[in-house]
Amino acid sequence: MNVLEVRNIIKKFGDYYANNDISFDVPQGKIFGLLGPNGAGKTTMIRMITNILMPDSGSITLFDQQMNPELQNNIGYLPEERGLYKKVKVLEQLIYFGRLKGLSHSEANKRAKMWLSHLDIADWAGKKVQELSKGMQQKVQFISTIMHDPDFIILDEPFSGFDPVNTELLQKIVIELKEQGKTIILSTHVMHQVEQMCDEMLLIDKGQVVLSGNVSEVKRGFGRNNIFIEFNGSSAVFQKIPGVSIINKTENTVEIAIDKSIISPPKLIRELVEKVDIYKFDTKEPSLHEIFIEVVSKKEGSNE
Amino acid sequence: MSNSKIMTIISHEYMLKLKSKGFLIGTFIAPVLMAALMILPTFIMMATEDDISKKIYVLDETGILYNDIVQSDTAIYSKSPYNLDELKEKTQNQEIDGYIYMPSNVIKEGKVEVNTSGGGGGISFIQSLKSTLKSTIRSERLKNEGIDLQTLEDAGKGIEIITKKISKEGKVEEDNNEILAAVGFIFGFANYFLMLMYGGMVLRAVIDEKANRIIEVIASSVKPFDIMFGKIVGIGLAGLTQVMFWIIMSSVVLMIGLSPSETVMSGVDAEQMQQAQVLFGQIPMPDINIWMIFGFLFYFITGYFIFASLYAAIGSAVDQEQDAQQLQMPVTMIIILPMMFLASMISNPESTVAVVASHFPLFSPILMPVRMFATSMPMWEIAISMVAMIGTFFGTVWIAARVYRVGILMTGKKPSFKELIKWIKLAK
Repeated sequence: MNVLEVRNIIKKFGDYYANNDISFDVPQGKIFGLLGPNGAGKTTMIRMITNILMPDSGSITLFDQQMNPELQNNIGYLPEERGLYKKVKVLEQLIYFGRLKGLSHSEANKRAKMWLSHLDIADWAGKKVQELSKGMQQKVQFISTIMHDPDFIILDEPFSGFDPVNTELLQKIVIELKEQGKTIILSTHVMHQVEQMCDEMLLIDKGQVVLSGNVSEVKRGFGRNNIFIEFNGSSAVFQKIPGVSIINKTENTVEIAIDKSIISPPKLIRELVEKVDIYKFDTKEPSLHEIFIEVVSKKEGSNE
Repeated sequence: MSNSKIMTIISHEYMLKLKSKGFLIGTFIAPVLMAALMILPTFIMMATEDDISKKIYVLDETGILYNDIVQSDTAIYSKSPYNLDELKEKTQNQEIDGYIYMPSNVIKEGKVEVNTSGGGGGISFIQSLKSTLKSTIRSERLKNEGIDLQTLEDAGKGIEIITKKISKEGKVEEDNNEILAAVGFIFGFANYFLMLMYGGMVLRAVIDEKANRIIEVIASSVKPFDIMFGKIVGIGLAGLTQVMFWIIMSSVVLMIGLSPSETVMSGVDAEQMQQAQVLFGQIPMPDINIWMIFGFLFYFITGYFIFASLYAAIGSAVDQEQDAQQLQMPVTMIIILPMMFLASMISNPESTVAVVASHFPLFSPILMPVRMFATSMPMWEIAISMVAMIGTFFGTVWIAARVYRVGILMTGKKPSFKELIKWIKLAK
């Protein structure tokens, strides 16, 4: 079941297309990675699925309803640019944000306190935000995003500004939310977090979709071209085989890319066995990081 | 649902303002400072006046003028036992502070010499000496011309005009036009002051929320129009609270000031009560009816909303307060401009200029209360103005909401007026 269905969204600012015909689905209970370089149109897309902006054309359906203001109470949104009232006390602030999401005063108070102690900052409830460290402010912001128990959560760079311990704590909470059946969109530039956490992903660039699907499938689609070999012998042999190019080499290892139209991995093994001793032969999936760079820079190149 | 969110925003903005240091200072300390500013100069004057301990001799060759001068301040002036040369020498040696020399032809020529060792003697010294001499010499001259002082006094008696108005029912009532006009002036000025002050607060609150990036969080929960409207109402209520506090405080101070202090200290004494009432009776109470108060409130509320929403729109368009200065200029000018009509409005509330200017909706909040108090306006004229005000109110809020909606999400370069107009057209 899809919680969010985005169809043919176009959003222009003047003559500039921030989103140009974008469509995707976010299935229920999954963590969905929304990726793209700076200025790709991610924030514009997020603002439309939080009903802050209206698309010029196309449709957005959330929980089987056309996007409308009532749906906002069931959305939790952590913007990339964090925003808190610096001079308002932590608890007071959380109650306010909770009430804006439709909670009653007492319910907001209860949940804010619960989350504050859950994230280990209960002692700071009565302090003004400006007295808190950046990490603590991030926690407060995080609480304001999820305290009203939304079923649909959008987190834009949720782990920036956290130390490794707190990053792990927050990651754990996000995974817990997923396990409770919440649907989460995670927008980040940190690719290994996407690999660790996301089930599905969408990569957009210059307002258009360039890559989408299940994260491991995406990686597989890009994989198999790179082969990692541990061997004993002269690395010169690799250069002589047609269709093979060396990406990386050390004394005893080499990482190569092969052109599948010229040579297949099994054929390569047969050729190598006669010339060097092979200890390890591994087809290697590229990391999302590499895929990101490859896709985005290829697109830049083709546009120029 | 949405209504309760507006209420949440209103109460949040209201409390935020109420708890802010600026508000507390403005409410409690500002009036104290104002009072201090008014009282202190008087204290300083009194303190310095005591300082004048000069010894000045009066040498009067006419023999009739010195008495008035000496009587005016016996501590300073005394009749000179010395002649002119002796006085000059003693002043030179600083044995005396100075002398006044009036030659025998002083009444005709009007020339008096003041010689002091240090020179000058201060403006207040010269002023008081001048006025003392003036009246003395004047009456002396009149006496010489054979004019009786009593005749003169009778001729100079003030003229009093009693204004009465005859109502439709044929009743003749005392008309307290002047006091009503003064009250109208105060109300008009109050609107001017409040619109500028609280409009500015709305502007800063909007910029603050945008600069701190809070707006995106709130916009993902509440409609932009509700955010803007809630903020304007919340700050408006805080303003009203402040004004109410001042009104109550000043009436308390007025009461204490008017009644003898013992009354306040030791309960009400019948006789003193009467004294207080007599005092009150001396200030003619203008007959302000409920419609006038309603009119003032109407123009205060619509005026505040019109300008506060314009300020909110401007605040939404910029990233920081400095950038707002240029954009807010025209709005501030529109508030200040009607102040120039105020004086003529009071002296001539029925002139064409007054009628036209007071009907211009952006001027009405300041000028209409003045006219309403200064003259009895026909109902239809007020009705037309009120309809225009309500129309302008909806118009400006609509325009402001469109700018606000686009503006709060825009960061980067400061927009021009042209761009703002584009936003109004663009916004959906």
